[in-house]
Amino acid sequence: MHISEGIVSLPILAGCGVVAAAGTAVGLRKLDQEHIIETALLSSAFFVASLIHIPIGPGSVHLVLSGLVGLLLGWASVPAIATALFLQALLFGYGGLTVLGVNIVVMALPAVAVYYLFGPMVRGRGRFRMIGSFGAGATAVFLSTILMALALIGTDSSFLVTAKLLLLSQLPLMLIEGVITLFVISFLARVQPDLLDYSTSPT
Amino acid sequence: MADRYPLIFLVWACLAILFLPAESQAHRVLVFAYLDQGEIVVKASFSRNRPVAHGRVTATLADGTPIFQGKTDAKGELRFPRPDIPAGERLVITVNGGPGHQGRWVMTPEDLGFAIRDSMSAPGPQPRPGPPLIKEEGQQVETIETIVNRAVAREVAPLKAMMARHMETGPSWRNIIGGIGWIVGLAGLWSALSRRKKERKNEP
Repeated sequence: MHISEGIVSLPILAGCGVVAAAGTAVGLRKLDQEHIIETALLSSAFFVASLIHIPIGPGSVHLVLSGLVGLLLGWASVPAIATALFLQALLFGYGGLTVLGVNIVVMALPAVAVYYLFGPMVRGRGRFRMIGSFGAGATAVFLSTILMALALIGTDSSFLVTAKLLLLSQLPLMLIEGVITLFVISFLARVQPDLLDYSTSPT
Repeated sequence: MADRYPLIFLVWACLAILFLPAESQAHRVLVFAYLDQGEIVVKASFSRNRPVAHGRVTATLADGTPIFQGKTDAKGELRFPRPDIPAGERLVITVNGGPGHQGRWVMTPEDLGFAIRDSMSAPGPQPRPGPPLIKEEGQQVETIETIVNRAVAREVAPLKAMMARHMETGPSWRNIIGGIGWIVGLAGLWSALSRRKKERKNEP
């Protein structure tokens, strides 16, 4: 999911940098003191999730958890994901500092989108909550894939070819993320429903 | 029935995943290149020893002048003859492992073996011409340079392989725990700052 350095064109790098900075600023403004620990926890989860590889066929996919982070944090997911991506670039060499803005846009904007798209369903009960949780996890990966293909416009292949290739390879991840988000939300709703409160009262 | 939905989803998803095509989706492409008996050897892998199979390899000069193009094999390797590039130039090897995934390795003139060759051809006290060092049957003559190069290559080969393996390891526990520590620290800092801001606002 991380775009490497030296691929994306300069206008896209600059544009995404501005959008990422604006999104992070909005997220920090909306992040109140009561939710800082929750945000740090989910940022840490996002940070280590990329290290969990799930073997599928000849290759493997790694977790992202952007749907889960988005559902639970709303706009605060942007600084949470930005911090994790910054540290991943710095400590693991994933992505890179010059493409940090692009990777933030690719992974954090879908998280905010699923908060608005599926938040109301997750706040519901029973079947709606389950469908909403699964949909949020899967849709966040789907939207990230589309944004990634858009960011790669101007490289070797066309948008459609890149998007098709990426969608095909990310399809297993969409299902896995959907299932994991469904389980985590169902579990939290049962044992710690307070954690879902961020969704009901966005700051 | 509602309690069973997660289980139904899990079983369905597992079955679906088993029958889906999947490509290796890793974070970065690790590239390592070295000179081996007149050939450039390129090894490319994703994290954790998964080779970049059929990845596009381009070799350029530092200014972007294209020199060579090729593809890695199923093991993520490619060999091509050392190109004849101007002395002192670096060779930039880039491997594309799929959409958004790319890595590179820069070979210095020393890596390319040019520095040794140049220093040997540099002006200086010329050795006295004498009979060839080794003369085999069939009049094949080996120079000192060839013998030394072969011996050095044989000695250095395990080191190169070890370096290639070292490049392929994933993040260390120290980095993982350190990263989490940074997040906790930043959260604490943000918490302290926002609390101070709140207190100032509440001051009469």
